[in-house]
Amino acid sequence: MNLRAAIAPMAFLLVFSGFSDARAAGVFAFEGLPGLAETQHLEAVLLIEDLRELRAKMELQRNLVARTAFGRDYLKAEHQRAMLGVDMYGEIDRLLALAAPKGAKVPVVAAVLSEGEGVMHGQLAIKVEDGAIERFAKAPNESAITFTNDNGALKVTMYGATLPAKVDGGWLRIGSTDAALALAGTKTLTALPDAITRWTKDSHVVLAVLGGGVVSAGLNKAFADNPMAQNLVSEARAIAMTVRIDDDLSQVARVVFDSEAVKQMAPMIKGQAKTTSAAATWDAEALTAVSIAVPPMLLTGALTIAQMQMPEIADPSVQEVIKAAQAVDGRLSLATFGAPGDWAIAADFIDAAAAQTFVNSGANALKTVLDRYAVEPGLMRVEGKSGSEVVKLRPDVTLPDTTVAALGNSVVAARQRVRIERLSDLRNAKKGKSLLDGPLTPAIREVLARPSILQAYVVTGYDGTTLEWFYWPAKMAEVTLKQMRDLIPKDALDPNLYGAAFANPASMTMSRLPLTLAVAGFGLASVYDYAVALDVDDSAVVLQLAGSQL
Amino acid sequence: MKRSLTIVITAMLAACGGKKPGAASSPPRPAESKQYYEALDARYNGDSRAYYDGLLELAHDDPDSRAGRKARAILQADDGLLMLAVLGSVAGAAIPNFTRYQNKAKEAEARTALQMVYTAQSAYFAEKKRYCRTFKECGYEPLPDQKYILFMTPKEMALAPGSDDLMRTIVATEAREALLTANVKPRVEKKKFLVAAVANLDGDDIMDVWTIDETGNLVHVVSDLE
Repeated sequence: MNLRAAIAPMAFLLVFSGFSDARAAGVFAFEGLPGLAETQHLEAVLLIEDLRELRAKMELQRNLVARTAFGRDYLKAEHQRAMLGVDMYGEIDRLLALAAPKGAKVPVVAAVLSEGEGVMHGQLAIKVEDGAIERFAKAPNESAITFTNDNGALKVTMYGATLPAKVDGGWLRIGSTDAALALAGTKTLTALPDAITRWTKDSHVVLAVLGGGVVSAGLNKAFADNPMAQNLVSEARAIAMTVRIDDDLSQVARVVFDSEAVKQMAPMIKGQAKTTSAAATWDAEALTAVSIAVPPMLLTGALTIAQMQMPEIADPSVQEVIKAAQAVDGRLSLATFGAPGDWAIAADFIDAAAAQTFVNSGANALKTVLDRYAVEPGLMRVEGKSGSEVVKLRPDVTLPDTTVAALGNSVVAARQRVRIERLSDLRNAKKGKSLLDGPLTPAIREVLARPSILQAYVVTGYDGTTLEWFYWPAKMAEVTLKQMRDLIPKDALDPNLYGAAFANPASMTMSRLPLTLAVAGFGLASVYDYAVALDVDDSAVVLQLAGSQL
Repeated sequence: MKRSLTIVITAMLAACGGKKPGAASSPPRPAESKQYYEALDARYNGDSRAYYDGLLELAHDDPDSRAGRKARAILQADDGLLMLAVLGSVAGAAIPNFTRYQNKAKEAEARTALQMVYTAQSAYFAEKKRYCRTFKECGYEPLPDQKYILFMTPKEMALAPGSDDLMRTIVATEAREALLTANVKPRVEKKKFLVAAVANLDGDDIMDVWTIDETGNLVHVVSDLE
């Protein structure tokens, strides 16, 4: 047997068990970077909790892509260099080996700071183990990032630009200018607002733009003709994007916008927080589920208008329906269950009694209307015991029913008889499993379990085939762009701006486009489900996008 | 079986060969997930029948597993619908532009018709030392699908042939109202004239109005498309 094949299973077990331990902490453990002066403002920051762990996560994705022959070809270092200008994976491995050869965590911070008006500094800080300067200076200069020891000071050459660097406090700092490294204050760079911190605890990467600085002032001016947007921006503490990648290849990306203005608007948008998730309405067979909690300002308006119409309506039975509808709590949901015609919709009420009252009054009103217009009998039947009636409606006596029933505090309509029975078992008899108890990964379950203003879940039926239609157009585009690239004079781009590696952007991004499409198609085909949730949490608007792979 | 073994060994080799210090391997996948990826692999290798059969097998044998659900979702997904959505988006973006260009083309019809009348009037004037008072006298005949109604005077008009009398009356009434609103008074005098062209290009309340005079000055008085 090939030696590599024999070693592989052992390596698999060893590395995987070690990896799991490294993730056990489960918090965003960035320790902070000293050196920010009182006069400086943190404009934007990129935090990587541990570059080593992030690299391990990348490897999980690479292993999945490497299942296919074209995926392995795509991941080859020469193709990565052709596509991105550098072999990103190789560069990260090299950096990790130089920064922390003993295997310590390697937090990374990229910060943009402002000082007064218009003076901006950039600093990249990487946590390193002792003896870093010597290691970096001695490292062979064979990659896109090279280090040289210049009389004790470290110089870094990245993409054609030479940047000053130094090591202090266990951090290798690379500055955009010498001034960017002269940070002698006492504040730390961890100062993210509370709402952002709450939503970044489990994330591996955080990118945040903070308010109150030069960027915020610029945006404020840009929205001069829009007072509402201006108010949101001026009172914004931060907007952050976060990424969490789990061992099971689930990923959660979040966008968190933290502003005092959100807090003021929250009662109009969200109202009273729900205690249960809409996903709990549906059984585990649901392949698609969408729900929206109608904002209180809209719901109250609609109900008030309906109530104002009451005196105009002569029929008492219809008046009863409007009265019963006043108890609606505004959450509407829809689900499909993986078979043609198997769907259900639901409207939530304040309690179970209110939902049943709505069903009964609706049935009564419908019967009155049908009788009045002498519609043939049999289009509506009311079944079940008194107090838990179920209404069955059909557009023609020969066609099957759609059932409307009160299940818990929801009024549910479903086309399939079996579906309403299962949902009834779930809600009224507490039998069976809800969508939240289905085969979900923890990341997806977390996103769906939180009651949200907007929530969506889908087991994706996309298998990447449509991307195959674009292989040939992509090849044609690639060839055309390469022709165009050859027309650009070699010295047309400023090397200080673009560097040697980026001197020819078209050649990087347009290399073997059909292969990139094929890998993208495989990536999409490997996705099992997506979950989306939008909610307001105190002063923050939080959008979560999660996906898991098979 | 041989193929599955090859895939597993290949994946292990790739994982082993590409391994870097501290890097992790994918956690083991359930058997049905492997079955899904084998089916997908068959598709990439040009055997979509095997892919389809693999999906059917998963959906039937293990419908409640993740792979079974994914297979069911794929089998239900209609690529045609997706394509329709893509085409719909493209059409949605293209149709307004196409309509705008089409309407611009209609406007060109007014310019052409009025230029023809101007040429005919100039030729007539050169011969008779006065301008013609009817389109017939000028020898001008509207095209069969002409959108614009031309007015030499409020009563003397040229309209596409084939319209019935009722339609002519309705259209002419609307066009005359548009001329009044725009304060355009088509007329023919001994040494000067003003001919107008009127049409409703997009079905709204506003009508497109153009004029040309004896000097050849073409004026777009009211634009229906703005």
